[in-house]
Amino acid sequence: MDSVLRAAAVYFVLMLLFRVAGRRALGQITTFDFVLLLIISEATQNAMIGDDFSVTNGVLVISTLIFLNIALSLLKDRSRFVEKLVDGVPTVLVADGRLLEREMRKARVGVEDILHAAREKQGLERLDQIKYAVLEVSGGINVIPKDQK
Amino acid sequence: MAQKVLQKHGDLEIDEDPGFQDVAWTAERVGWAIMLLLLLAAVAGVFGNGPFSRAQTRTPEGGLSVDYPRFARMESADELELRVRGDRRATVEIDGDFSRDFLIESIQPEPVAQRPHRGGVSLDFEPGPGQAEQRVTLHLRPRRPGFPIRAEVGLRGEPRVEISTFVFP
Repeated sequence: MDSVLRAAAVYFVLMLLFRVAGRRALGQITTFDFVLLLIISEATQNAMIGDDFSVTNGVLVISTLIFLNIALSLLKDRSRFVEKLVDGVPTVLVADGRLLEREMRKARVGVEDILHAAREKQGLERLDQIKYAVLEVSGGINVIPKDQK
Repeated sequence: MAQKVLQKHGDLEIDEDPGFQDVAWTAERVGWAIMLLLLLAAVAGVFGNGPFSRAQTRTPEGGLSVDYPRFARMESADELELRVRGDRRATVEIDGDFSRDFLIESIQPEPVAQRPHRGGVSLDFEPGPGQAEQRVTLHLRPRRPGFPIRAEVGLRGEPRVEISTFVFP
């Protein structure tokens, strides 16, 4: 019993924490984010496993996590509200070549982040080549270039 | 070498197999249902640590009740609870390969004497003044998987009662 409850508790606590942390938290992983991720997994392991090192416990904990993930994905398919709640919504950062200052500030995205994405994905050089930039639900920034004349 | 013939979906060259895909999707959904049943069973305690994982028994003469794990997990902490009736010093004997199969981490309250006994242990308990019943908890850790592990418990000189614990690996 406790294995399933522990795993479920950790699943929802982690989901809440990462949701509160915001998309930028783990969207683009820096070295420090990576180290943080390792430490979090270490701490999580203790919370889930305790001192029960049996194979049965491991199987139950893993099954619980995977099952919750499937259940949540089914729920997200059925309810738009749950999907928004869990995944968030995409944010337009640049519209028709115009920077949306408020959205950028709230989402903690700088001009250099948008330029970074523009160089990386589209090979663009300047801000005025960008038509749209969107902060996606996954945490990445996608850039749509203006039509080249 | 023979060229592999790729299937086509419209203009797309792709190794589709709609029949196989349908079977796989069905299998996935069956798998989800099995997972759900497995987890419900786990919450109930079929894999140890739950309401369904405990069992109670008593010796034929009624002097000793035992609350023991029916399902347990290897290397995972568990409990065996003894209730000894009577206001005199009593000796509880656990036979079988109990000492080999279970690590006894602690006994609360401590017995006044503890001796090896035919592969198991013999524990002497003395009740406090005016007590008609003693409750003793043995904190155990199964040392090997068992399908199941059996032991016999009883008061000295009285008939035994069998306890059996299914220990998951």
